[in-house]
Amino acid sequence: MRLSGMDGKNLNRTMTTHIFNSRVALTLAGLVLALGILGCAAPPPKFRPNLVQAKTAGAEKVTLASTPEVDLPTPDKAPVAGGKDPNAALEQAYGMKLSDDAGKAVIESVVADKPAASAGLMWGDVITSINGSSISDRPAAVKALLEQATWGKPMKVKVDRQQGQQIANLLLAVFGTPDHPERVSADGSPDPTLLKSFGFDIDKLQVSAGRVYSEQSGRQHGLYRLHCAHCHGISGDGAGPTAAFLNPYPRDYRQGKFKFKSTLGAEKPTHADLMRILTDGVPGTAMPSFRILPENEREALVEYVEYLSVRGETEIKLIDRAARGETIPTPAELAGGGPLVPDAEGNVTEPQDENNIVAGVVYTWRMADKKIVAPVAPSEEMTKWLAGEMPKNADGSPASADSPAEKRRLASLARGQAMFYGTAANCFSCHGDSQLGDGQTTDYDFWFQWRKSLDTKPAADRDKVIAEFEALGALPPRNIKPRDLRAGVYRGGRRPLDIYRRIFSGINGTPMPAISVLPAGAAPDPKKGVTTQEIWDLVHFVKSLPYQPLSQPPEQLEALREHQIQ
Amino acid sequence: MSITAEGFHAQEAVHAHGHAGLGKFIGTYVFSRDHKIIGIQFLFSTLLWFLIGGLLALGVRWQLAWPWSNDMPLVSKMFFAHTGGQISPEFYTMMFTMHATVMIFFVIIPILAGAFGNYLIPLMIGADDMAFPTLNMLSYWFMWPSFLCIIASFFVHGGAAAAGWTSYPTLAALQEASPGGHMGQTLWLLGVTFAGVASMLGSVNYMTTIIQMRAPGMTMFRLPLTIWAMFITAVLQAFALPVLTAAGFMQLLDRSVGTGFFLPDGATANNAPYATGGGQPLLWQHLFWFYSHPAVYIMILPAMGMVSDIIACFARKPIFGYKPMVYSIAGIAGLGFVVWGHHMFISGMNPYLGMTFMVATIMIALPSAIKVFNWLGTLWGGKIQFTTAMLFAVSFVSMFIIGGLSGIFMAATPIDIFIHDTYFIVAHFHYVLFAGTAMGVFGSIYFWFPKMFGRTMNEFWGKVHFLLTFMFLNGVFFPMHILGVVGFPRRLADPYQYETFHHLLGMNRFITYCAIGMVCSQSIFAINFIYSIFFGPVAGRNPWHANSLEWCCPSPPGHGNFDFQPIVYRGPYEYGSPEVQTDYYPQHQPPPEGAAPATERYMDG
Amino acid sequence: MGKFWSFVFFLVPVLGVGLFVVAMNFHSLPLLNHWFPEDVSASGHVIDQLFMTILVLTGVVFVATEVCLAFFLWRYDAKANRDPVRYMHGSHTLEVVWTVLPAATLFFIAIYQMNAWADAKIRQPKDAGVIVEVRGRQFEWRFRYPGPDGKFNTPDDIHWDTDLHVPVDEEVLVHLKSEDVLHSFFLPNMRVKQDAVPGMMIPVWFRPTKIGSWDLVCAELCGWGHYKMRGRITVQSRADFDAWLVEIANKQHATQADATATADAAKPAK
Repeated sequence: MRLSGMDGKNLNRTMTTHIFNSRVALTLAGLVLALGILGCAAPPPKFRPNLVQAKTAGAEKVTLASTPEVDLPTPDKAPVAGGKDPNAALEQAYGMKLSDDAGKAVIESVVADKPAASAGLMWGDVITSINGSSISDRPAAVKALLEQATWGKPMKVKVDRQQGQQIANLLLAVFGTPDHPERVSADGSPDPTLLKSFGFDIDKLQVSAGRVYSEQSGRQHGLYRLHCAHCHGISGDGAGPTAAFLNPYPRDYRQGKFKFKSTLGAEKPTHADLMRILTDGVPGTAMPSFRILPENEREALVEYVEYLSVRGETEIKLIDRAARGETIPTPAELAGGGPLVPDAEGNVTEPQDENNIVAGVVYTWRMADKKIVAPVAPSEEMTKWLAGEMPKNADGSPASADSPAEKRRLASLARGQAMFYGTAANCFSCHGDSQLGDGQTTDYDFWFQWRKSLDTKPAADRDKVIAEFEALGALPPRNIKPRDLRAGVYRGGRRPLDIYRRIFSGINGTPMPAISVLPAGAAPDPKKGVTTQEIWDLVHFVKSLPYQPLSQPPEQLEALREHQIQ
Repeated sequence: MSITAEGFHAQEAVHAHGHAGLGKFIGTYVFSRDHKIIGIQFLFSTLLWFLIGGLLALGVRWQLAWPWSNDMPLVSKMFFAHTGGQISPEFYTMMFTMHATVMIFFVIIPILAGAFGNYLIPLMIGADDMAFPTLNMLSYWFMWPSFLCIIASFFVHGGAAAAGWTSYPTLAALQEASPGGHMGQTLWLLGVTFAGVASMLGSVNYMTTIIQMRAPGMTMFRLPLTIWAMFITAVLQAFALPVLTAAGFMQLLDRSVGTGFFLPDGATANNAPYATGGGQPLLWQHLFWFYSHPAVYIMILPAMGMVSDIIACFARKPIFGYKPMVYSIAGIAGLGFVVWGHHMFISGMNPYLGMTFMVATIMIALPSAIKVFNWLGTLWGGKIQFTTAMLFAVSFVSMFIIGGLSGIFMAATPIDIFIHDTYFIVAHFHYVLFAGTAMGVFGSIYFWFPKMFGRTMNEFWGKVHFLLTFMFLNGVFFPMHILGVVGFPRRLADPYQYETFHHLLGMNRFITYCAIGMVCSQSIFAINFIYSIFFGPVAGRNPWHANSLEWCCPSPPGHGNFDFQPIVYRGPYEYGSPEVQTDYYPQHQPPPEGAAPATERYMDG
Repeated sequence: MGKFWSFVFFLVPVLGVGLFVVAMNFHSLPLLNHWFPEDVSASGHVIDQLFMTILVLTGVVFVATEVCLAFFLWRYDAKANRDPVRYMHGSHTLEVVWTVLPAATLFFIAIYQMNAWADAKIRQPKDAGVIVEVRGRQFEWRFRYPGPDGKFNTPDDIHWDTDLHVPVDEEVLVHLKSEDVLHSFFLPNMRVKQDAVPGMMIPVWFRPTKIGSWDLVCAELCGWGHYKMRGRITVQSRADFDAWLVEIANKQHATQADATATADAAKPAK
């Protein structure tokens, strides 16, 4: 009998004697730790305040949440105003009023160019200390400001700046959060009546908002987070995690400005316009077509985008007011002005009180359907040319260049070309002599106005300010590029109708202006403007560019390749 | 045992206590030229990266089980707090790219060639060190620039590379095409190039050492299969790697100076300016797979070798068909150079070429099949000891059968049209690389741990670790075959938006639960490993009663390895030889008086 | 413990085959539709049949080897096995057998499927009923039909995206291109997959046999939005298809605002 090697039994015995209890405990502890790490709870979403807007709108120092300390100048002598309300004296001496908000000394308002405002104090600031001694409530602040002041000597005032929070609270009182789009009533229960009174469809908003999940029935929730949020951001700020890597950047809904729409100039887009962008996408950008989503999901998303846009525009208006030192509306004022549900003719009553900010914004949305650009009908021949139908001889062969039909077509193209280079339309100055979109490439669109305003500054300061903006969440600024008209890619749609509207009313938010149209009955003057019928010639010219010789080489190559394959 | 050890221990003591001071410490343990220290350095580094790669995989699995959930552990809070905690699609892309990169370039290749190759080659051939110790040290330290590049890439603007580990142009070559395409992709290319240099230095060393440094009597056909596999792997690397290095540099140039090797006319993405052009994206695929297909064998052959040694040892029986095993390793390596095109069947490559590559690819299953049959032959009629190392080795065979057979589906071009880039292929290569190689590596760690650290790992917890890993890995990877048959595509952050794949969420959740279980059960291994280094039972020179040369030197071996000059009398698999009374018969043990040498028997394979 | 471990390894073929059988044959819960998606093309069944052939061949080898492995573990457990170790180094006969047999089988598999490959990728049909240009771009599919003049790159081309419409029972010839990075044109229900490569025009063909709407998948990583590159293929009767072409052409050439001009033809075919 040979010696066995180390068989399993012996081995096990030697090894198991070395198992200590602590070892078991260690193993289990490791497992528990791993599971504990895996089981971390969800973080609450943070809806970032629009700090970029705050910086653009107000003094550059403005931030919406900080604890600045300022040197508050005092007048040479004590104020003469008296009486029971110390605000009169405060207003006289410093140009500010204090309110008593939950026992704190809160600046209710400041007057422009008076000491408080020039020192950088803002409405809503909570005074926390004066000259080093801490201030707990309004009487203490009044005492320090009026009784303990050394007149003629500035005092150090430290404030807790919470306007960001105040604006957030105001928005919450009207809009809820983007994850829960309904206001929360005093007892904590959701209250959709307010948004309904502004004409929003709460069911659609709710199916779009919040986290992603699907019901047993297959109904999908969280549509916005599922399809949109990673580019457009969860609050519609156009700054989702992917946004910085897209060219062009995704739209920031909060400005309420949209480019590709059927309405005039700066008017809001119609519901159908947004629906069309969502369905067709924006060719040539990272916005894909969502054609294959069910129509009800697309409808819900468009409703939600309108909600985010109204919410964002309201926020911007509030910030603007805050930055200018104006008083901001109370929640009741802010939410007033409704209801704004369109009547049978689609009309709504315009809110008159400028404190009814939400109603004012919603009104512009509800009126969009009244502002649609309806182009003049082109001639029958023009319709055919625009559809790519070339003049033909009776036998179906292409008409020669000297046939009357072809001559008329070429004449239309020539008129369009003349307009392209003419002074009224002046297309070439941006789109370039050869329509490649290289006429100018240094301008900025509306979303980068803050960058444009820095053009006049020395380069070194510019970089510093840009860095400050980016630190607040702004995307790195980019120039707006005029479209290459030979590429055959039309972001706003390739229908002649779309191109007509782009030319007729310009592109909102960009340097692309509306063409100047001669008033009806005016004498033709190519220097002053064009007739609406002539715009079709220009559309015809633009639509023909991708098929003209300068655009050809790739096509020839393609024909060659197709030949090889056949 | 016939070895007297006292003299050696005295020598070892001088080594242990003679080097005082920090400088000596660094020279001995940090910038060491000793192949064993370098091997252990490789082992520790790769195990650490194994953890990182595993966590990245968990991230991928999380998204596939709970797409767009806003409560992904750690990641939601760390990276996506301001967007409500949802991971972004580009982060998902980055996770699977870096999972593959880390696992392939920082775990599997270096743990096989770097850790075990370094540690075992001189010991198993009876040499006192590598042929070029300094080069060997460099091969480890060249990994560090690579580590740093990859770590840094997580923190640069745009994040780490996100074009897949295959880094296909034009996605990878155009800066604007993806977020990770900015700095991350450049760092990725640099990292992979450095890792390639490290492999290159290693493989030159292994080839030279194996050819030049064998102990007296150690003929080529007395080498353990581990060494044969390491040798052939080194040859493969030496021939294939320069191609990847060149291709990597070409892509770097495309990205940085605008050469356009891989960019066709007018290539652009994301409205960036047009690239110079003149190149061809498929060129990269050819060059990349010319390396990376042989690399697939670089990633499995050493494991096959080590598993052969473990199986023979614990079956207490000579390996079945030693020479066919060697020839099949060589056959796999040779054919491995002419099958790269099977990664490109639907890439737009000339379809006639597809037929050629199909035949070559299907034929490469043959040597793999021969190996499996020989392993089965080795088990047949043995006396099998169920140690942890043996369980892992047997599971390697069992799992490699699955991985090998599923490869035949991919090799068949018409079927590949359907299952290419689906989870079928994900299942296939994880069965080869995780269920195969990683299980082989676990077995090898349990097997050679006593030699490396002088102590034995705990067997009970080792078996618990094995059982959990084995169960969970099949739970993770086997259902993926079914997903692949439905056509479930890989690399999609949210496949459930497709109607065809909407109903596969349940199976994916199951897979994710198993994946979480699998990663958690590795903590048993980690604790067992670390604990045993310090407190495990002390092992003798030859705890498993194995035959090959490394078991005749002390555990752990001192500097210079052997305390006597080993002379080799026979092959490494003489278990159960009738010539001796023991059931093992070490290579260096002189035959009893008058016995006929047993080596000729090898020729009958 | 040897018995336990051999049982563990025995479970591999049992559960493995079991899962495949359940997925394949039980078109019911729990693995409802966990098999090939419905085949609606003229040549898809060829691929499915090849798959099944290889599945059976490999299945036999799989079960045989895994059962052998488990049996050996059970039979030759050192604790239970009283027989002496079989001291042997191999068998020339066996090696020859298990080299030649698999070699012949594998070679047969290789030759057997060449015809299917040639049909799918080499023998381009001459009688294409419709030619459509498909371009991948980050992250959408864009299509172009040649329009009334039958030529691409003329002003009457019909542009469309995302939802590819084709007529039923006619050979569809796709000119596959990419505008930026690699994409892959994957129609699971037609068993068609082909990468789109920038700078190349690759022909792809298939013949749908059933009216309906199915997924068009991008199967090659094309960037962060890869998962978003979702399309559909809508197969219509010839008459419906022609009517649809005219409808979208009219919408594309619209000059007047009109509620129906909102480009939207996502409704599934009748």
